[in-house]
Amino acid sequence: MAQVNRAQIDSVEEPASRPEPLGTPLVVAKDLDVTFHTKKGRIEAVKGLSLNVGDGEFVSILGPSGCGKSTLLRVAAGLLKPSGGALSVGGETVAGPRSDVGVVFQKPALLPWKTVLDNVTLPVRSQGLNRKAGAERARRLLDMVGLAHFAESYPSELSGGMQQRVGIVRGLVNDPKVLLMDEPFSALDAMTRETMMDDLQRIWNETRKTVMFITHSIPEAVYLSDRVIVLSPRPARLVEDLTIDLPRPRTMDTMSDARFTDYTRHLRGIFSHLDK
Amino acid sequence: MKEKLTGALYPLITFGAILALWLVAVYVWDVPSYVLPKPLAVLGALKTGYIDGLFWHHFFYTLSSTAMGYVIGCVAAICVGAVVSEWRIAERLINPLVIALQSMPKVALAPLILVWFGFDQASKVIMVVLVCFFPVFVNTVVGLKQTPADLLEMARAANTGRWRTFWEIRFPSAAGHIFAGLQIAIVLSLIGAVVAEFVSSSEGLGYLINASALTMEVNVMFAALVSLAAMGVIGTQLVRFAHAKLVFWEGTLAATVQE
Repeated sequence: MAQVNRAQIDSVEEPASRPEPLGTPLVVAKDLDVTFHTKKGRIEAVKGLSLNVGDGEFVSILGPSGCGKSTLLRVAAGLLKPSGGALSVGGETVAGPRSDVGVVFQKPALLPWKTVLDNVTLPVRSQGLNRKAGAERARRLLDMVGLAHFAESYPSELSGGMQQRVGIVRGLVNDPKVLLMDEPFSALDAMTRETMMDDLQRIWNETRKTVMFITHSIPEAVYLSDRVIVLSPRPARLVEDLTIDLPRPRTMDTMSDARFTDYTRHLRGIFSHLDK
Repeated sequence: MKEKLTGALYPLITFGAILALWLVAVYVWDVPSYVLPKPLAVLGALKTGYIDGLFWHHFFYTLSSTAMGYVIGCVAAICVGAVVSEWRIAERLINPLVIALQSMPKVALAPLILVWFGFDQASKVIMVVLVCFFPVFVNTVVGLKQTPADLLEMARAANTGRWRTFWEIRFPSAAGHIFAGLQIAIVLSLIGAVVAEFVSSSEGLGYLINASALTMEVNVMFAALVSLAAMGVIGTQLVRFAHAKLVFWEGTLAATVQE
């Protein structure tokens, strides 16, 4: 309990004492520890991790597979309690799933027995919010991702990319402050991935949500983010915090920009050191 | 279209072969009619039974016992299955009883049930309830426990309450399993009803078979058996139809991203 209070005070004080260039930090992790107890013994997934994500910022968390980046996201989503330290959103310590945090999973996790609209509005029903307003927001968002005509379709009638778009709309339907995305494109083929990256950039541009985007793709991270955070292999520690200074909107041309290549080369360098 | 035609052809071949064997047995090998009736004699028994009306009473007696017992047994099984899968304490309390009863042949209980519940229809209904209960119960519990973890995690992240998670996620995801149980229960429910009638009854198709055995009316026995088979086939088809209509997403599941 004492720890929770300390974290709250820290996160409240921080903006005043150390102003951030990219708006006030909305997501703050402070000395985060996550330890799993399994049959094989203790596994330290995250150790002493501190980071913050500014309001309206798009931050990618990059790291080798199994490095604990998904664990970090699950803590932020309130699905997992940290064993030490704390993570706060908007100054409040995350103690469970919150309505101002939306989550997009690796698999779309859609209910095959519900229409697209009913799938997307599940968080609205779950929070007991106004259903009519929720359905209107859902339809607007579906329109934004080009799925307006599929509101009454069932998930099985949609392609993999469309299903993941539905997953993104569901994450946004309650108009959250923060959108957490856990490798949302990793199950898609390369072509679909590229269109999805552009779609996500457009959605972010229109909604200006704070996004924490977990990925293991370096170009994806550089293309989408304001900042790229690199985590070490387990236990996850922060190894690099790189601001991506590239003009928006980014296009396919951005990828051939010299600075883009510099960023990806730099990150690749870090990765090759991590392996050793 | 051609696929469909050949599909219908195979059962016809099977039934044709059986009929041919039957005819050979009766007319060539001269099996006496008190052992194996002529096909026409069975048709005759069916005709007198259903047109002159003697069979209808027995038919509806068995049908109503079966249907009532089936509905009560299946509904109870789904409810208890839901409770057991939702509450760990309920599971611990109920499971030992279920395991003990499940491995026991339920038809062996028929005489006891007659002693307890009397000789009228109630005892037949209870017998059917008992035999229906277990396959549906087991399938409900298994189905509810197999809710995909990613759907449950998604629901948790969306702050979906327990009640809503059950109705919107766990129950529909178990529907396929539950229907498999309902399918098995149809056949078992008929067995339950007929066995209860065998033990003691003055009505029903089971009674009719028993009574005809005493008077050596084999053609009536055959006619009653055909009636029971028809009941079973129609019941099974109804459940299959309901399964396809209500659990419409099954079979399309492969189309959703499963990687």
